[in-house]
Amino acid sequence: MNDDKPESLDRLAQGFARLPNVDVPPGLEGRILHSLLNAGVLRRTPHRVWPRLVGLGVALVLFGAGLGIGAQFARPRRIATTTREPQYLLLLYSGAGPQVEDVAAHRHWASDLAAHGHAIYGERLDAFATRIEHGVSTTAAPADTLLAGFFIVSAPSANVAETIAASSPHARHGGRVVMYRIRPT
Amino acid sequence: MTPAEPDDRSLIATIAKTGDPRAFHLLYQRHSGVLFAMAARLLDDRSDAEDAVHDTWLRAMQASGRFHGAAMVRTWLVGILINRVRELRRARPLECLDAMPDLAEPGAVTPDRALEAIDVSRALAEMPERYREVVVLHDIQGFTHDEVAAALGIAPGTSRSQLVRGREWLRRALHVPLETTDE
Repeated sequence: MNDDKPESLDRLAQGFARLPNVDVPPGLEGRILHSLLNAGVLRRTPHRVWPRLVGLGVALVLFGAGLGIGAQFARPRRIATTTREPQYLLLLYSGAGPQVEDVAAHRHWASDLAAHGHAIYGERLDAFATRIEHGVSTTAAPADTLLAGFFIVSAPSANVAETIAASSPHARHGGRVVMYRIRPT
Repeated sequence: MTPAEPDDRSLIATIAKTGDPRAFHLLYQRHSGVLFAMAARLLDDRSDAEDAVHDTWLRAMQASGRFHGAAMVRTWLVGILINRVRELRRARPLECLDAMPDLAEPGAVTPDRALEAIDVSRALAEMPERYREVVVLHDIQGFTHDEVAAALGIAPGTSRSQLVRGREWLRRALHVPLETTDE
């Protein structure tokens, strides 16, 4: 605002200064990174995410929209990933303990992984769920709807995957995370 | 940027040569704040802004091998973003670009009252694209006229004249009295 004139400009400048800050969405970097990896523009490289995690790999897997996950979830749809490492499903439970409410923290956590060249995919689940049993669909009982979110990651070993799971904001705040190794099909 | 960190041009070269995601991460950390803020101001929609920034990085990184280094990386990225923003705006319903809106009630913005952010936001949203780009880049993001010119592909003199017109448009939209003649 330095090449225009006095008072009215000052007031325009004040107006601009009062505009709210625009923060970058925390999940945007991971989304871009995924696209760049898929396009072959970037290549994953081994690196250190945490001091004892060397060569950690996280692959992105997409689920079909509306995929229901319960205690016994229907088979997830696997898609091509950028790694051949084993994949792990991390189920984040709510209930009496901490809730998976801090979406920003989880995005940041995932973004940190992605920022180092790894991809990760996860979603928060709606509280409403449908239970399908013996061919009959009913509204799931509250006990069936404790699952609040999930992530799918790949890791070179179960130990590494456990470390990843333990590092999630949900786990760090005392929430329950259940990990399954996805069996190759 | 700390002394140990490579400059933008080196990072672009690294990405073009090795596809190192860490180089992308550093670039992203340096420039995404400006890119997203600009996109959000120009598109008035965070979702569209997210798409615009996503596409900007994708296009830029795909073209990293063709970056010659004559321009600043930030200016180069902003130029790509502006093109994407224009595409997204063109895909929207037609706007009456030159209409002078009556955004604020007459007298609502008095000399005693600072312009409220919401008034400015609304005015920017209604501003003709050619003015808005220059005002956002220069007055809000702090670009110089040379940088604005490089990003928009116009002459610095055009940037100056568009800025004057854009400010004039804003003053009228916000009912800010005109005390002086510009430049």
